[in-house]
Amino acid sequence: MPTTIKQPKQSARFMQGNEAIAEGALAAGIGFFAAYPITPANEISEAMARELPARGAVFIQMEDEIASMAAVIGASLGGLKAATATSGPGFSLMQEQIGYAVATEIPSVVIDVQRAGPSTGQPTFGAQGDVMQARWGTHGDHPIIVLSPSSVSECFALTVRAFNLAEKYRTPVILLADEVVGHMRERVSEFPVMEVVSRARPEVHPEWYFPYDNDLGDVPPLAAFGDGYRYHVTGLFHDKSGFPTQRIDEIDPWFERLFHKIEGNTDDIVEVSEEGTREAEIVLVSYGAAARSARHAMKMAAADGKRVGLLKLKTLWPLPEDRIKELARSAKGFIVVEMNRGQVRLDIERLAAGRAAVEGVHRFDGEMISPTSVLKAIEEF
Amino acid sequence: MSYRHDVRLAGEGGQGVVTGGLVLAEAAAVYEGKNVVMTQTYAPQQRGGSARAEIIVSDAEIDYPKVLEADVLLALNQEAFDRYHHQVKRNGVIIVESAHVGGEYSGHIKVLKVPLEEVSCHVAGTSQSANFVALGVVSEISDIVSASALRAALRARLPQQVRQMNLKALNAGVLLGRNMKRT
Repeated sequence: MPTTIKQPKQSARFMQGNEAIAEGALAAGIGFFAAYPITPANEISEAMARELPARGAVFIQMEDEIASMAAVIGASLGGLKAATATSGPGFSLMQEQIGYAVATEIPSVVIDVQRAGPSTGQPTFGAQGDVMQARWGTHGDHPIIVLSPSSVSECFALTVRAFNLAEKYRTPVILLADEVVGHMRERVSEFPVMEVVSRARPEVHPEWYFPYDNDLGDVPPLAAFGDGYRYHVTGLFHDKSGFPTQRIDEIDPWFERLFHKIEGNTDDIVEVSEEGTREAEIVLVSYGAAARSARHAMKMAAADGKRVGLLKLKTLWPLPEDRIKELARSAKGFIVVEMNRGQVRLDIERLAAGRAAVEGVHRFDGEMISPTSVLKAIEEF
Repeated sequence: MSYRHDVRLAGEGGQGVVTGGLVLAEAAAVYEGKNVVMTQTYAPQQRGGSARAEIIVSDAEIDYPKVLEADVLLALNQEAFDRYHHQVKRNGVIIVESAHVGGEYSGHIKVLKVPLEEVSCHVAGTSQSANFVALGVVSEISDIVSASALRAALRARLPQQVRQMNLKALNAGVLLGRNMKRT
């Protein structure tokens, strides 16, 4: 038998989505990670447990997901970039704390590697059933940012982006992955060096610091506990110093700013990738693992001479509302491809507003949507 | 013309289809520089339940990461054969563990019945390396991945205490495959 050892091809790595998420967190400068074990997100925690202590950062396995998210909020208030990772059942438990982070404007990253549900469902099977939960899982009117990767390299890039957006806009950001993408392995070359954003810190004298000062633009600077700035944090409606208030003239400007910092910056926050949408008669709308089925089908349809494009949502919330409205005028219709019963399709129908037809290809039994079922929908459109 | 090879390894949890799949995929991806995507499906428990690994090897970008129609199906038990032998290309190959997969198959697809576990016991002293015997066969009867890339990936991936026995199993599979090609 030959004994020569083959050398790996230059810098190519064969890597899992969850591992790439962990690398993204490290590249973004994570300082604290707390989680409770759950399939299919465990590889992220394993990597964090391995990597963080060696870098002087903190990994904690908490007693449950409620505590995990609470710990993330505390660590972030202490000045660290902080994240947790879970799947559907744990994501449900985190909702109250996510709302707290929205209201108190504490940067945090929540990674949900979706599995088939509801309840404990199918731990080792993929699904995209948490899309609306990511948008509306916590109570009360609130804005939120949700990102959805569909490849191993996007797992890396969108994780870095999740941290950047969380820091920039003082908000929780949800990275909504799924079992297929989280467990899938792909060949990747070196990840790109990405810009890393950290939250603005106050420069004023501690006596003059207001953590919720609506006059300072969309995102007031956030002091870390321990930096010498004394302030109050509460989930109750609060005034600029952070103390509870019931005054409408203090609540309204705060609410206005809370929404405006996300909805007024969609140019920066919303990221999509488009292929062939300009000339398309039919636009496939998809995200995450399902976008891979859609893209495969798009190529099959193109080979048949059909004018089909793909609008892939890397940012899931907020949706690219203006772009979808434009496409509703230029295309005959949309086919929404998603591994749920039509959670994004409802919003595409709302945005198409009767100007374009909207169909869906949906599957939610844990298996991926086959390209042929998308192709069939294209042919029958 | 670009190619796309779809490989499905199926059996039950504990038979090493995911480990075997990982070595095959890494061999093609890291040591041969091909585009490779691997997914796996397994039951929540560590042993038992059905397990499968699906590997796509291509010179083009791979979108759909699951097997469409397999070029190679490895069926380590009867359930795997019954479930997946319909999803194999006309010119594809099915490799079955002859100790666990029986019955007469009257289809038109080439089925190679191989005593993988017996060979594994013979060369590695355990039936647990049957998955690597199978990979050796795959490397010879198809052009998906070379035996030398498999060896390199195996050495890099497996812990030292099981490396030698699995290398022996792999090499035995290569010889078996070579003989099958001749006949």
